[in-house]
Amino acid sequence: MTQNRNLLWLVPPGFMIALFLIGVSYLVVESLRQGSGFGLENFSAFFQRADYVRVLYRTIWISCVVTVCCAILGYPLAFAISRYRGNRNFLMMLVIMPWLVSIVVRTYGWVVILGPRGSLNSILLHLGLIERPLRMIFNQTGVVIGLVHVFIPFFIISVLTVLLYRDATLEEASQTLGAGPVRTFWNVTAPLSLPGVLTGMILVYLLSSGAIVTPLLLGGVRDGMLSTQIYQDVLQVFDYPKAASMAMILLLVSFVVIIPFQILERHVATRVSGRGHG
Amino acid sequence: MIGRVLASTLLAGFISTATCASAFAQQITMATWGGGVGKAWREAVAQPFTAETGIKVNIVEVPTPEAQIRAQASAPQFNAAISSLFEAANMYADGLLEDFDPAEFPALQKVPEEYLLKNDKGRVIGVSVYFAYYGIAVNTSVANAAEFSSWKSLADPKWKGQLSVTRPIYSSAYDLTIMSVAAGDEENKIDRGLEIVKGLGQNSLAMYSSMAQMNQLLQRGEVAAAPYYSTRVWQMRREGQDELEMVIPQEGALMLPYIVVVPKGAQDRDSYMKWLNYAAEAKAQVQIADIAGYFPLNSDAKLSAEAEAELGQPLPDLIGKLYQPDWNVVAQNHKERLQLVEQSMAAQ
Repeated sequence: MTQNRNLLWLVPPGFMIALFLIGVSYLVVESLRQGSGFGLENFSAFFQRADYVRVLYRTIWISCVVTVCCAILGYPLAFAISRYRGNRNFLMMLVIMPWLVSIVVRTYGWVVILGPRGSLNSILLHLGLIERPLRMIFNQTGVVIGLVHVFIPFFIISVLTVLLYRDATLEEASQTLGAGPVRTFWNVTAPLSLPGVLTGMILVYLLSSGAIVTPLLLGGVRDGMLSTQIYQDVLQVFDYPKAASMAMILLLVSFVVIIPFQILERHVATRVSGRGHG
Repeated sequence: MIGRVLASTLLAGFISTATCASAFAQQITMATWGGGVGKAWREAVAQPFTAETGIKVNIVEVPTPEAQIRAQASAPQFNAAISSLFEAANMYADGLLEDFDPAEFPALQKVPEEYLLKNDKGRVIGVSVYFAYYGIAVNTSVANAAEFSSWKSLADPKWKGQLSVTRPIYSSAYDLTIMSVAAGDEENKIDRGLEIVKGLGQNSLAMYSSMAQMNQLLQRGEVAAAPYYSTRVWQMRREGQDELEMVIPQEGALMLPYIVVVPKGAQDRDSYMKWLNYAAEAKAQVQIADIAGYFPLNSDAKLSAEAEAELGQPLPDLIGKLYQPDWNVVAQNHKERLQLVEQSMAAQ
C-alpha cells in the first residue's frame, strides 16, 4: 500500500519527463526532415552559412557575459539580503518585483532611459560631459544590460536560498578559531554558497541563450541571437525543419556548456556536505 | 401520453440544436492585424454588414494572420483573413487558401486587374480591398524630408546610426523590390537593389520587430527615417505627431494592396461569400479610409473631403506615384531573397 502511494508521487515528474522527451523527439524528427525524406541537410546548411555561425558564437558569448555580470552583481546583493536583520521579505519582494511588469514594457523602459534621445544621454549632454549621444543600446551592450536586468533575480534567489539555509555555526566556529570576517567569508561562506552560485549561473545561461524579446528590442541590426533567428523562422518564414535544426544546435551547445558546470556543482556539493575525501 | 411528451421533447431538442447550429454557422470570424486595422474592420465593415445581413462578425486581432492560417491548416478556425498580396501568394502556393471564380464578386470588376491576385487559371485568390504604400517615414525634427528624395539616399553613409530597417522577412519582399526599382531594375532583377538594402542595413541603428517599436523610434526621434507603411504615419499624424512625414521618393513608393482571403476548408461558404462581396464594395472601403488611412481599390470609391485633405493630393495622383510589382514573382523567389537580405544585413 505504502509502496503504491510512493509510486504515485512519481506520476507528476514522470509526466513532465515524458512531455520533455516527446517534445525533444518531435524536434529531432522535424530537424531531420528535408522535403519528403530525412537527412542532415538542415544542419549542414546551417554551418555553411557564415552569418548563422556568427549568430551562434554571439549567442554563446552574450549568454556567458550575462551570466558573469549576473554573478558579479547578484552575489553581493544576495549576501547583503541574507545578512539583513530587518524585514528581509521586503527586500526579496523588491528583487522579484520586476517580474510583475511585462518583459516588453520593462525592455521598452530601457529605450527611454538609454536611447540616443533617452534620459541618461540628455542629462550627460546637458551637463556637457559628452558631445554626442552615447550608444548604449541597439548593440550588444544593450542586449547584455537588458538580459542582466531580466535574469538577475533568478541568480539572486538561487544564491539566497543557499545562504539563508547555511549552517551558521560553521561561521561562528571559524571566528572562534580566530579568523576575521574576510577569511571566514573566503574559507567558509563562499564555499558553502558555491552550489547556489553554480545553479544560478546555469539558470541564467540557459535563460539568456533562449531569450527572444530583449535581443529583438535592444539589439542592433547585427546583434541577433539564435533564439531570435528561430523565432523568425517559426513565426514569419514558417520553415519548421530549419527552425528545429537550429533549436537542436542550441540545445546541444547548451549541454556542452552546462555539463562542466554540473560536474563542478556536484563536486562542490559533495565537498561542502563533507561527504567527499578532499 | 408518454410517447407524445417524448416526441415533443425530441422535437424541441432538434429545433434548438438546429437553431444553435444555424446561429453558429451564420458567423464570420476574421483574422486581422492589430494597430487600428481591427477597429477599422469592426466599425467600417462588420457593424453595417451585420445590420444588413444579420450575420455576426467576429474580428480577431492577431500578430500575423498568415501564422494563424498556417497553424490551423488542417482545421481552420477563421473563415476570412486579411493578408498582403505576397503573403497570400505564398499561402496559396502552399495550398492553404481557397480560390474563386471572379464572376462571384461583381464588385471586383471595379478593381484594376493588376491589384487582383489570380492563379494561372484566372481564378481570384480572395478579394482585393484596399492599399497602403511603402515609402520613407521621416521625423522632420531630426532630418529634412527633402534629403530622402531617393531610395538610394538611405544607403548614404552620412545617415549611419540614424535609420531603421524592418525584419528580413519583410525587407526581402518590400525594400528589396522597391530598391531594385530605384536602381533601375525590377522585382525579378535584384542585384543592384540588394546593394542599397545592404547600405540601409549598415546605416540602421535598429531592426524594428513590431509597429509599436518603430512608432516609438520615430516618435522619439531615436531614428531620423526608415522605410515604413503610410498607414502608420497617417495614424501618428492624426494623433498629433505633425513632425512625422511620409516621403514618396522620386522613383516612386511601393504599392501594398491588401486582400481578404479564405483559408482552405473554411466553414460556412454562404456567409463568407456575402462577407467578401460586402468588403469588395466601395462603401465599406471609403469608411476604412476614413478610420485607418487605407485607400480603396474599388474605382467607384470616392474619398471624403477630409480624407483627401489628409492625403494632400487626389487619390489618382497618389496611385500614379506608386509601383505595383508582380507579387507572384516576389513570392516564388522569397526564400532566396530572404537569404540574400539576411546575409547582406549581417555583413559588417
